[in-house]
Amino acid sequence: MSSLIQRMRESFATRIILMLIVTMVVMAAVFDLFLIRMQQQSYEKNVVSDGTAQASILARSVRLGMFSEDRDELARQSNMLLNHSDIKGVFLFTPMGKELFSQENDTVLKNKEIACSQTIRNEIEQAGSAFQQTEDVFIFWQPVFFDAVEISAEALYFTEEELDTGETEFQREIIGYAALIKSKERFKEEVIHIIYRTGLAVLVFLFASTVAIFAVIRKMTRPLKTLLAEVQAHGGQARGNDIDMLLTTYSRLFKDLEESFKTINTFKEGLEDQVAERTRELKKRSKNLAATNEKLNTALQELSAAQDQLVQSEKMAAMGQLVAGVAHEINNTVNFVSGALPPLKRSLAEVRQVIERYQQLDGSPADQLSERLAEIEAHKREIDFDQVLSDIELLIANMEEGSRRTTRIVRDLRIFSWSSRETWEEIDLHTALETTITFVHEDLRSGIEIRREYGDIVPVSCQLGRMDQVFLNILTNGMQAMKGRGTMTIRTWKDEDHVHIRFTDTGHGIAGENLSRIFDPFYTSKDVGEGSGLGLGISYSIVKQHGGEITVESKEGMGSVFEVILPIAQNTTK
Amino acid sequence: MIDDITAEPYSSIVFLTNTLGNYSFGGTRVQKLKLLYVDDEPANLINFKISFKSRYEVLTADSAQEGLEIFQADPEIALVIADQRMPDMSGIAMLGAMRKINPDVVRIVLTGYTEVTDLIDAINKGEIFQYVIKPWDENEFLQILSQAEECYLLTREHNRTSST
Repeated sequence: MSSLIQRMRESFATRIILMLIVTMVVMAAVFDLFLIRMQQQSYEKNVVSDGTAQASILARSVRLGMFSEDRDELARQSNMLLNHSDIKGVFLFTPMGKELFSQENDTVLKNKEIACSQTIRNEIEQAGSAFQQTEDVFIFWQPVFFDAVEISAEALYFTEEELDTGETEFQREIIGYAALIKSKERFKEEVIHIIYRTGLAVLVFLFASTVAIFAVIRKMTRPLKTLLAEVQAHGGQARGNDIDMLLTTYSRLFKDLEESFKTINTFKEGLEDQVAERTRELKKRSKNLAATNEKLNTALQELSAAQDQLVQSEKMAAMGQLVAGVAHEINNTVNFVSGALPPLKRSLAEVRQVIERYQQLDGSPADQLSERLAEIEAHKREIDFDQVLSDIELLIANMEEGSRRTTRIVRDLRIFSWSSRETWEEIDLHTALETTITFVHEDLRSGIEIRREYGDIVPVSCQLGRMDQVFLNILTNGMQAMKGRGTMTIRTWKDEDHVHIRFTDTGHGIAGENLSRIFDPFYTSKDVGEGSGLGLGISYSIVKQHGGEITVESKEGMGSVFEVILPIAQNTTK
Repeated sequence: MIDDITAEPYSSIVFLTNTLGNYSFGGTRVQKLKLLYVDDEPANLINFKISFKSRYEVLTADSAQEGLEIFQADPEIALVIADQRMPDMSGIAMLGAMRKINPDVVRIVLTGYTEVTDLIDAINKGEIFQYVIKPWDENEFLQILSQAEECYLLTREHNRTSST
């Protein structure tokens, strides 16, 4: 119940309706009062007018009685009026204000003092009549005239003044004053009636208008209600009345909106800042990236330089190894020469001594000749001259051997300089292979079966000596790997553009880590001096020089397969 | 006369040769020391023998195996010179084997190239007395040989006195 009242108090429509009703009621009340007053005045005017007319009639009718001061006549005239229920009494006064006659039909007036005072008399003389009223009664005063002129019937209906100022001109004399007392009872009743009537009309009007207002407002505020419901559904504050709620909601919404916009703006700015920040970071990162990239590039360059250096130093190490081997060989062969020189000199010196002794024989006397010769012979025996001579031969042979072997070593090394002047010719590779096989050292060949699987191939243009070296290297390596026991299979065939020569051995094979290095110049798995490491490197260079390829497949303990592929067409680099 | 024959740098060699000659023929010691030279290169053997035959009694072998056989057969061998690089056995290994047979023998290694680690190891272990680099200089070789000879004689002297 209280909530309903609360709700009604809060409802905008209800408020409007109430306000309008209150306004209407107030206005109706004011209007009612005004209306009542107007009617009352109008009615009062009528009553006064009636009263004045009656008083005038009285004054006329008592004229003669007054003049004659005949009380009976006066009573008779008065009673005519007194029959009227409204009229409560009749008072007649002399011109001096002295009561001449009075008659009343109501006890109410008994104690009432009705006096014709000087002021009333003056008023009557000036205005022609006077009017007084108390709480209960009206008092109408009229002068009683006496005039010689016959008063026409019409004259009775005009006021004394009109008559006075009108057509007739005659002397009038006031011979008394008449006072008619009229009760207010009817008047009061009538006034109450008026009030009731108007009040009822106003009430009917109020009811009708209230209903109309209610209907109209309700209809008009329907969208508002919907809006309110909507607002409440969306968290509108239910505090206060509808308008307050709308206002607060609206202001809150507005504030929220502002807040939201502010937040959005902040976000936007923040976002822009963030974007800028991110962009800066990205730029920085890309810069860092570029720097890193540069560093990486530098590192890569350094790495490849290091790799080059490593390769170089590996080569140098290999070179060192080679040099060690070669140096040993050369020192050895040089020793053939240098070791022979001192004894050779000594021997030659001895030979020269002998020769000189013989030369000295020239100037000596003949008889001493045989003696001298015997001395020389003795000397020769002493120094073992024959031995000296044979030593000289041996030493020279050693020196020859030393020179020859040194030259050969140097020549082997020189192969790497690409400066061969060997001629190119069409070669039957089968013949070349057979020749090379005979070159392989007898010790290596013994115990090894050589299986030939020669196919139908065509002659190939190459440098014979060089190709011999390739085959020799491969065969020697294979046979060394087999250590006097195994099979070397040589297979040849051709395809469209190339001739293939495949060497398959059953030796110890090559370890995976070494497989990639076997064609490197100076690389060797053998002991120093045993192999220079140049063999397969040289072979690789030669085959490349012939526009061909050399490949190797091997597994440790399973033997190796070397394949030389040479182009049939002459696209060689000379 | 001698100066006429030999060039200046070789005068010392000639002098030495003469000295050696004195040793051989007119010197205090008539008997030459026995010396074994092992090398797989015959040319070196010949050079060596001709160079030093006047000073020492030179025995030669062209393999480690043969060297060991000769050494075992002849206890009088005082010095052994061996080439380090030989096909069947390294010089140091052969000298080590000989040391076991006769620790008194003075052992010298001949090498074409300084395989330093092997040599240092061998010298530290006392396997060899000296090493000579090929190609050899005859003078230096003679000096080393005479040092070795002295060492051998001293050892032998020491052994004899200590045994008596």
